Amino acid sequence: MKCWKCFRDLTAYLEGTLGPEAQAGVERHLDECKECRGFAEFLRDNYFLAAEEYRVEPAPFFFTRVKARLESVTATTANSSWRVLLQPAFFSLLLLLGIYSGIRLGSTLNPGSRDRLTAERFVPWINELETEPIENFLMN
Amino acid sequence: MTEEEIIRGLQSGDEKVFREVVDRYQTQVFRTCMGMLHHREDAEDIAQEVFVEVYRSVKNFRTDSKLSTWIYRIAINKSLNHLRKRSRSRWLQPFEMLFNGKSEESVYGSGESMPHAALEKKQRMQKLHAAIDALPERQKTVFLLNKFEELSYQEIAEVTGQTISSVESLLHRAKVNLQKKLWNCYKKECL
Ligand SMILES: [Zn+2]
Repeated sequence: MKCWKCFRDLTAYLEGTLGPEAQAGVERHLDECKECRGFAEFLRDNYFLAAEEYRVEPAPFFFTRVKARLESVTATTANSSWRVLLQPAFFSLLLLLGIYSGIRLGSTLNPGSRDRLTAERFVPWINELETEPIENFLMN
Repeated sequence: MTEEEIIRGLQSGDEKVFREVVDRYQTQVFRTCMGMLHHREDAEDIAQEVFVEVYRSVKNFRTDSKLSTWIYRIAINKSLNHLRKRSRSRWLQPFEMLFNGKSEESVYGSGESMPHAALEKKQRMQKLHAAIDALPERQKTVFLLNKFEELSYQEIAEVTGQTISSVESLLHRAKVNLQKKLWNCYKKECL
């Protein structure tokens, strides 16, 4: 067996998932080849070491913490659902207040009030600008 | 309690049943998160989130898949999302160090107070996790579910929503890639 073939089958060999013939083939090669043997040992020591990490358990009283978490999430959601209702209501109120104060402000500027003069002063001037021929304006 | 009874109990908000589910699956869920994240606090945090999600969305659970498959799927998705967030926020670490004078605690701790053998083992673990983490997301998921959760190809296919043949091929590629990475490490004596 060539080294590359051994390399290709090494993980499966270590897992014991190769067929009996192939398994024996790799084994023979490992007996003969120092480099492949070194790597196979290295792979077994390190690759399979990771499994140790998986024998961990969560800390005790896991359920209590899950329950506390669930309650806090439920409370936050309840708050945010109130917010969902309250926010549009608040902004609608603000908009209505704006419209109302606009109307009130407008009514104080209506004709008949003391600001009428201001409007009279402006309007003809604007009108004249529209009617005056541009040539006259430039010649002056 | 049968699976149907459990699902019905969960859907009606029965706390006793929920406790039963947490007790039954907490170790599997925690280990899956640990395999993905290699960080105890993060794994615990995500495992809690998994059960909160189970409780809140069990109404949408369709009984055509197994409860355990569904829970695994939530655990994997949440862990992957957490990993993505973690890698996005990694570039901020130098700034955090600049302002706080310290970075996020290392996954493996500083190791200052450790005996030599334990430290060596920890360092080997660290390198091995780096090799596993460097695998593409789908290869990594399939590899962890098979190697450490010992799920069958059929079960992995159900959890990940892939065909059995693509699970086989992903697993094969994961093992080949991992072996190559470890070979490089072996030659450079990095482990
Ligand atoms: Zn060889």
